[in-house]
Amino acid sequence: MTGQPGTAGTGRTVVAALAAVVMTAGTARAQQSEAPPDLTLRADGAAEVIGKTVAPPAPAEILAPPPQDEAAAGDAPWGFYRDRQGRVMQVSFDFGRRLWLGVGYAPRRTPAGDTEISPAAFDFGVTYDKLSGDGRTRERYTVLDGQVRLHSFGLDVTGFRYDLSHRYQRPLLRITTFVREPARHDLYLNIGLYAETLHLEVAPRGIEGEQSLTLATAQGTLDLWQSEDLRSYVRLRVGPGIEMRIGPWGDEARYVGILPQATLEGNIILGQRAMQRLNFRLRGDLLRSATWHAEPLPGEWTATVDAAYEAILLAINDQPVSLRLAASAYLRDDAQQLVAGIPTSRVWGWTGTAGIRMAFFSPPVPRPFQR
Amino acid sequence: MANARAAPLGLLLLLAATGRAAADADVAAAPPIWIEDAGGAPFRVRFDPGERLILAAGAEMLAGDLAGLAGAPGFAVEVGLLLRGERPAPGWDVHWKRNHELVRLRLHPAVGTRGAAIDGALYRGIFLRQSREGTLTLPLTPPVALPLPFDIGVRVAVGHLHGALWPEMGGPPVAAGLFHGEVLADFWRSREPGRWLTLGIGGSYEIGLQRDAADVLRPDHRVSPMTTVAAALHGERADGLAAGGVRAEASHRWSSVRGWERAYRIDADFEVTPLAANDRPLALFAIVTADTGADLPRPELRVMAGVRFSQPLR
Repeated sequence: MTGQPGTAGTGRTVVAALAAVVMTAGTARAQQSEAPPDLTLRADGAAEVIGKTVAPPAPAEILAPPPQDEAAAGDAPWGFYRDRQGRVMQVSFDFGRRLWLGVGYAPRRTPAGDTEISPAAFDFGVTYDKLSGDGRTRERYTVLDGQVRLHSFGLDVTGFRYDLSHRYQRPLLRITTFVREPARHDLYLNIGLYAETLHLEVAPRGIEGEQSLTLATAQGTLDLWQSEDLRSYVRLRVGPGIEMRIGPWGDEARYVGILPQATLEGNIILGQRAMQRLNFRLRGDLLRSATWHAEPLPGEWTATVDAAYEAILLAINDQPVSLRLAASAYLRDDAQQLVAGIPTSRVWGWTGTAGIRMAFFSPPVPRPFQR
Repeated sequence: MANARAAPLGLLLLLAATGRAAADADVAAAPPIWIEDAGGAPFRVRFDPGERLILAAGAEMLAGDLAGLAGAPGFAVEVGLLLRGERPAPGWDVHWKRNHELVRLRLHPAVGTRGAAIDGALYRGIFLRQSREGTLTLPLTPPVALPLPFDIGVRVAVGHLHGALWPEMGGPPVAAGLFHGEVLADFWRSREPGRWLTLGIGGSYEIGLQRDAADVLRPDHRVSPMTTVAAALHGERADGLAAGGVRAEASHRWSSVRGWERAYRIDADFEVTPLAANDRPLALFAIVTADTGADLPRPELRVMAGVRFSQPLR
């Protein structure tokens, strides 16, 4: 799991063994049903306890018999489950509110054309989102979201990110036609906001010693689709940004404007109990000179595509552990400088990641908003 | 000139011959402004073309003579604030229909010798006096009510601008009309706003500025001592979704440079509103202006067509 070749299978085995040990120790598996999500779960679910033919050992600290009636079993808080022994466990986790640490295997192709098959990657971040009182606005805050690669070293971290989704009560655009009988046509445009600052990336173009720091970007978003609770969305966002590049060309930083950055992205929560998440993003940047006197740029655009899938497999002490699979690829037109090892003005690369994440301080998914 | 006068006079006689007295019908009930769709959502279906802020953009073609539109279309914008008096109150006897246009200007970015860069007026107003009895009272002793087959009114324009923003050497003249006034006779006598058929006689004073080949700025004072005749027809639908008008003016004026001369001008403006966005009308419009005068190198014909956005003020 430290990035050695061929250790992916070993990693899965370790995870499976860990799960088996936990289950045989009396861990109940949450009920899987086709009905709408019921995060309180019923005591009936305890019938599906793994290895029920073997009587689970009664914990020494339980002094009273477990509750037998359904009412007593149903008194677990929202997002928690009480098993037949009366033990309470969290069975719902909010992807939007957590601190996570992860490790994974991350082979990649560098911009110079080398394929690295042995790097490990550690990812981390803190995110917190909240729904407004009227259920129409969801704000998301993310701090230090990033990844560190080893073998070879790399860093891609965003200092702070804020975005906002809103569901408008009134249509943004009402079109009235008078061609025949007057008719009203409503166009709901769910406009939101996205801002990011201090995004640091090491060697984004494969140039040794180069670092790029996105000072800030501010963008408007248009949600093409959003779920009822605004946790899932597919959206377009467009806006400007400014990037500072520090590199081996000297002490002077170079400033590059991004005008615009256009992104189609999605965040989709899947599963009856919202235990899976799918992210995708297609991004294009048009680069401009951001100096008082326009200077030639090493290229005009970059394009990036990435996708990730994450599923919560188990929880240790109510802290969820998830499997994460991700892939990304990019094509950059901004590497026209004469740099050894880069034969072309356009560079491309890809990265794959397979790893596990452990999240902390993740509360249950809130109850559906009652309008 | 003779023909221009003959047509309105003929119309005047026609209306008088029909024996049409003052239109004493009260103002028809105005159609609803807001209606609701099947879901109960309200939307606006009536607008007042005379009470709004307008911003329009479109293509303008300029021809150097009246033979055809040979010029390439250029981009032009139009701005303006239109205000209008209230409808007559119930039980009215005398009412003034008031229509104001403030800073209604057409701007053409192609400043220079290729064509006009600005056309419009800082203020233009039409005031039509309407009497329920259809009479004009003379304050004699005793007062005399004089029945007339028309309503009377005045038209005022202040700060009329036409030409380049600044006179260029060898370029077209800049005409700045300081004042224009007309006495009007309205033969339509419609109680509805925005409808009139007027014949007017008036005077004006304007200054033309032009740089000659030696780059000397030469002012040209032009005075029309009540020797301008104009006829205008304007109408609009009760719901305001279509409006248009045409105005023809013939002037026998005195120029400090050329002496007595004749000038003619025709303005036409049509618009239709096929849709509204957020209850603000988006109209398709066309403006046609034909202008002749001894100050112009040759007669001009300008056509502008585009989209007009309005912010209703009422």
